[in-house]
Amino acid sequence: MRRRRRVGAASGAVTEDLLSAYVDDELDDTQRAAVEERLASSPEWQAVLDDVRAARDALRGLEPRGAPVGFWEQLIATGPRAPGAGDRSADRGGGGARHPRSVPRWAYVAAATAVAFVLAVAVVPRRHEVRPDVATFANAHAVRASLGGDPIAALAGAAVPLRTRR
Amino acid sequence: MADGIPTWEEVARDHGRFLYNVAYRLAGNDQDAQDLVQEALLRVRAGLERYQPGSLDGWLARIVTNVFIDEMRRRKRRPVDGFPDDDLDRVLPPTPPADVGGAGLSTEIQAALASLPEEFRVPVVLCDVAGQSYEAIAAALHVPLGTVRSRLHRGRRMLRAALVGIER
Repeated sequence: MRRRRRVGAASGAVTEDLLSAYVDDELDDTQRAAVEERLASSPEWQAVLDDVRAARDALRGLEPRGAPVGFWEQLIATGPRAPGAGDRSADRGGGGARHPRSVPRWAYVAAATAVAFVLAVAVVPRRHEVRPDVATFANAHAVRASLGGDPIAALAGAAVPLRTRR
Repeated sequence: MADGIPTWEEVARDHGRFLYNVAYRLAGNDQDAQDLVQEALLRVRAGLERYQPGSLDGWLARIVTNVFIDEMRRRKRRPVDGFPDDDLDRVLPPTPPADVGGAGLSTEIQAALASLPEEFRVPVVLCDVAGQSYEAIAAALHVPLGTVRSRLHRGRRMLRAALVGIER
């Protein structure tokens, strides 16, 4: 069995930090003796030692926290999943992955912007333009008809008056 | 189990209680502890081929600690990405505490532990909950032994001060 490496073996300084290591039996013999010597003459150090020991004992005395009911059964049945994976609705009420955090919020904003752009390009009606415009075309036709003496075609100039031109 | 290497299901069954307890003490609530355990077991499953038979609890404590530290870093990078409020109703009901008589005290100790900054809480949990040696903690956190000793001592002193504050 590998022997634990003791804290403080490479340092000769006796600092208050050693008190926790002293409580945990993580000091080498030299450091332990130095700490005990200091403790014998220092009520302050003794008070700190008591505090450290009390905190340590409080934590070590805690009963282990158990997982919620059904957590392990579901995990073993479905396998572990990264938080954010899978279907939210399938996870509801279960103990599996629960947070769809793998998709950042900026991705939703970018997707919404892209959709809005496509809709703007494809759906919003654009101004309809015809070249040459109708008035120019009709006037030219009327001129040709009047020169040719065609009575029916000559009516075209009356149908599209010149003032319709912009 | 083949060649002394357990399957992830065996890890979950035989060491799940230990894993969950460490995750809970690190995270401070069941919701986050469940996520830590899920992620830790994913890493266990992926890393079992490289596992060297030895202290499985130590290996698990190291993995769940790394998951916790990664998660804390991720949240610091994206502080608005907390847990959605609607997730609160999806947390499974907690297991009735085993120490019914001392449930109040347990709650106070857990609250005091959760009040510690992470850099102090992690070595305290690894030492006093996971039962790891200073050397193992130093290896898990990639820090010198002296740093473990210092943070552990300061963490315990802060924990004691918080407990005294709660008692008053």
